[in-house]
Amino acid sequence: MANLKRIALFILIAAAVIILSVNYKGNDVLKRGIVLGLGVDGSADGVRVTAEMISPGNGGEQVGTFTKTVSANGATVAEALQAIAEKSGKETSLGQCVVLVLGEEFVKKDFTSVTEYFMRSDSFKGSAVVCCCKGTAEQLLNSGATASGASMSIADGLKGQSKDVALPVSDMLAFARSQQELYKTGFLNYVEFQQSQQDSRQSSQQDGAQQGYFSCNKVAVFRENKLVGVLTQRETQGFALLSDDVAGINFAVKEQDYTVTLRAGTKSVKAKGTEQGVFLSVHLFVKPARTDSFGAGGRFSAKTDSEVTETQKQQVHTQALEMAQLFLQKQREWEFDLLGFHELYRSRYGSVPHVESMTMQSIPVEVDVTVSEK
Amino acid sequence: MKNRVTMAQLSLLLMLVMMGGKFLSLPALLAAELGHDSWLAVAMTFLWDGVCLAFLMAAVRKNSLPIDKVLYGTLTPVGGRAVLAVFLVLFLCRIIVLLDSCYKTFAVTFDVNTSWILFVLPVMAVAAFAVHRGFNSVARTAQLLFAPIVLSIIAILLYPATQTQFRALAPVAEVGWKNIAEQAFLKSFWFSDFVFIYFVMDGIGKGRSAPVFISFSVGAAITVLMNAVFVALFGSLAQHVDIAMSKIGLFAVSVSGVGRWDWLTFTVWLTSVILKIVVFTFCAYTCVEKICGKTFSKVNPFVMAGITAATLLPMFLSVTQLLDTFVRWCLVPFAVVQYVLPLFMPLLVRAANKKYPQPKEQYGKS
Repeated sequence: MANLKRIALFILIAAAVIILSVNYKGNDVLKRGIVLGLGVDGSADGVRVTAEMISPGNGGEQVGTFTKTVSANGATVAEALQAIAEKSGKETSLGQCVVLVLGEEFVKKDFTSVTEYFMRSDSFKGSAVVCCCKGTAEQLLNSGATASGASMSIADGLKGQSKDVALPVSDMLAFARSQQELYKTGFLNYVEFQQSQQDSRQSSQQDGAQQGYFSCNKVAVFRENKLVGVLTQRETQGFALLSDDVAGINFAVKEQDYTVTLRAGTKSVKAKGTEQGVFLSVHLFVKPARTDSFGAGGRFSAKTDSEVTETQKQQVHTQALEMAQLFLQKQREWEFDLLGFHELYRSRYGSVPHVESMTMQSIPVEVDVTVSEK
Repeated sequence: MKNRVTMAQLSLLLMLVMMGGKFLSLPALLAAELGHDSWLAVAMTFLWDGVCLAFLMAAVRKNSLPIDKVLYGTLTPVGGRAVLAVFLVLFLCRIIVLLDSCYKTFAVTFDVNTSWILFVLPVMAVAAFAVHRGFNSVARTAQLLFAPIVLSIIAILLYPATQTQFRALAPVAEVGWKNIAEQAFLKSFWFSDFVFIYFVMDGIGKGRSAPVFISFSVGAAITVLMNAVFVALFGSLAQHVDIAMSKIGLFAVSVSGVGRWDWLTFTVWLTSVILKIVVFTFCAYTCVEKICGKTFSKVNPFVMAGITAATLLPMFLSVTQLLDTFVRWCLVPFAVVQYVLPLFMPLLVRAANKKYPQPKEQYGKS
């Protein structure tokens, strides 16, 4: 009797396990189109979405990961992604998406619905890099610049190295917040595909793929999900200089009859909002740019022997001030706030109307730059 | 005694139960009302929780009677049953809300779709097994899972915490202390996780209760920190984030750039939510036992079926509707058992122990 009970219990549990497993409908990995990067452009229907998807090598001769791009139009991003799923035969899975590229023409019009879609998406990462590109996103993702695909190259370039090469980087969460909070202005990195002159003829003859690299040294400014303009490289450097979490700015300084490059591998930026205006205090720690690594060790690196002269420090000081003023001037001209001046006042006075409506021209800014050797 | 639990086990279980469940939909609900001040409402509620826990533990130390005897002996059997009935409804509501959050988490985070019935049944089966094995098995499980769960929470929170601009939390109490206190009361349903102690109070081993307060403080501090990180990171978007821990976990993924290691840590953390559901199911089951005045030797299938049937409510009524209507109407009776009863427990316990004197050796619990 006891044995019969055990057998009955076993059968019951086995049946329950089978029923449950059948009814838990997870998506098989083979039925998923794992998206590494997405591009969004405008189209007659609404949007044109390009997805760079992983195409796993399934033959003995194919080794490694390959990507392919699939594009489709739709009234909304969701509709276009559905069309991509139909074309590729796989459900688009955005959980691994590392970059979202927005075409320059597309972002000249209000793209709030796109930002909202990705921000509210359950699978799209808030930490994914979002950038704006010259031309269309479709062209950029199809540029075939590297074997690993355009998305990974852009994400690596922006996310991996940005903090060491003086480039502020925006992600989905930061951008979405910037477009709806306080002064409603924010930035995205501006990416251009630069074709290699030497390789262009050869590659076009071989397989039609362009050879080149992605240049990411500018940022585009947005107000309420609309492009305001693209900063120059020098203005972007000024922005990088005044951003707290970005380092690696180079300064070319003259010493007698030769030029030396000094790198600010570490820095500290303090901002204070007072009745009189905003006071920015920047302290740069410089040393000769000789090594391959960018500011290894940071603030905790070992102290080296003094090599930087007072004249060189003075030149760095002058250049840094120029860069900062260039950016601040543009900030006043175009009326945007990338350094969080309004946030400084909000944290002091609260979310009161006069803080939200303060124009950039009405906020006096004082910058103090100090330079020392590390 | 299968419901016996040591002070150390109680401490670990309390901490896990506190953290399991508060990182799901509660942060968004608070953010919608209080914005960046929502962490203050969490801290305020924990402060009152701490006071109530102190009274309850003071009562536990002098007690050797089960909750029903304490209540029946002091509040009359009718009054005692009424209190247990309120507890039963409270536990059922909390189980439903937790199950709903878990269900959404599976669908949202892991992209796994299933029917509500097939989601609820295995969880309730585990709970039934725990009831059969006794509370001691739940406490032992908590002991085993404690380290991995806490490490997972740290792994999920550490990177976002370092990236958070805590300046975003200033000015403190911008919405006003009155609003914060009001929301702390309105969301009190989600707190007072110590209430399960009522149902094991006659099985708690002797020992110093300091570990309970230490684990309570650590659990409260982590929960407040998580809430602060969440509102500081997501700002005005926080109110739209349905499952807070899932989104924070996604943010932490940027450590690796690519890959979803958050799924691993998130899954481990999610076991604390399942553990909490099991604990509350045990309490709901005990409530029915006490109200009926029977102690079932094995799991009573009818009682478990009844509790399981109650958890099918979200098939007919959305949990948001449940929270906005029924739970809101019941806030005061819930608050009585959550926050008023503990204050009187030392007196009730003293009176009940006088009424039902126990042989001296029974006080020497191990």
